[in-house]
Amino acid sequence: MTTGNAPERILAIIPAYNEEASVGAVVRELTNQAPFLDILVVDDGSLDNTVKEAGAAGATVLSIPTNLGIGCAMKAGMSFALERGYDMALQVDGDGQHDPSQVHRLLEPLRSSEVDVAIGSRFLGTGGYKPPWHRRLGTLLLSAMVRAATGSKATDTTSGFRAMNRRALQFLAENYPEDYPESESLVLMHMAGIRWKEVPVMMRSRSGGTSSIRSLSSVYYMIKVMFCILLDASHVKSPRPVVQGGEQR
Amino acid sequence: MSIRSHIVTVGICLIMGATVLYLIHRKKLREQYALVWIGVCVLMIVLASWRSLLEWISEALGIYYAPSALFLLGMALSFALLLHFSVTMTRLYRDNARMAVRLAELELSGVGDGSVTALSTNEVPLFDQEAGQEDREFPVIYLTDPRD
Repeated sequence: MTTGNAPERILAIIPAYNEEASVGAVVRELTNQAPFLDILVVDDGSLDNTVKEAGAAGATVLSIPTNLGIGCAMKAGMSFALERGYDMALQVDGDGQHDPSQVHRLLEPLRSSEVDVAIGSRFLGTGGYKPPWHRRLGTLLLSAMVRAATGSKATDTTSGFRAMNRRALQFLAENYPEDYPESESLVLMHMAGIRWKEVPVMMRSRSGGTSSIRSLSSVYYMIKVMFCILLDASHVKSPRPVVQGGEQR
Repeated sequence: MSIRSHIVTVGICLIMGATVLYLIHRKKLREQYALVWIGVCVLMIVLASWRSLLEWISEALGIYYAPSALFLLGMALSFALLLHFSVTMTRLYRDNARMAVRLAELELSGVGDGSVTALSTNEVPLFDQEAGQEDREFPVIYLTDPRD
């Protein structure tokens, strides 16, 4: 475990499912722009060369044999970070959407102990990202639900560009939802007293693969996430509290 | 339908809905399936309460006795669910086979005898040195809560 004045250790977790086209470039760019990061690619049962590409680019690869969903992949990555004693962890998508030059913006509010989780929002400040109208509608709906459940303003609830400190990792490694986790996790964190805030970041368009939120399943996505937020907010589904010292399992 | 049968139907649906919510609360049911069952409950309550809708549906289907339409819909829904579970079981079987093969490969590659310390393709693993010196073969990362 890192204690005292030892340099902080930060793990970048890249969940990847069939991202052979982009994951190598993402790892290399992160290595160049933020050399202080250790990089873990969590392969979520990819059927293509994601593992090879990520390994060749120099990342440590945790390869899950079957496709469990992005939530489980992130849980695996967060457990890894906890077990290896990392002080903070970053989540970066494997498709090249997240600009590594923005990493410091996410880490800053964690270093100053202002919040436990910082979420990169492409809608705050200068970004110029204009999504199609149906995505915009879904985004507004989710923002409204998160706001109703937590009282906090969230502009980009589906953003997977995040930084988490150890306290947040302990909670999320247990409670991160299995599928479509991003929006719901905001509500879960609020209820568990994990402080989060959005930070303006620049995002790019995807450099490869397809979004996990496809148009065909987007209706199911919306229903599922809203159902889960309702369950959380009404305390039907209560998160497991973080047990002190419960990380050595 | 009479008021009495109406009350019975709605009552059964409400009990079912409450059971589903209880199972989610105890973390014994994934939300994905809970959503399906809640949907079934709501649909049955709507059909049982909104008589003219049921009559309209049965007329459209060419059924003269409206409550049989309810049976038909119930059966169709049950078959759809069973088919869905068959598909899920097929996927689980395939995933299970894939995991068994992966385990066999790992055993062959020497994870069992301690010559491999990490599930990693990186030559210089991030893992701390002490972990490799213990009797533990490789770091175990739980995907599920071992207390369950």
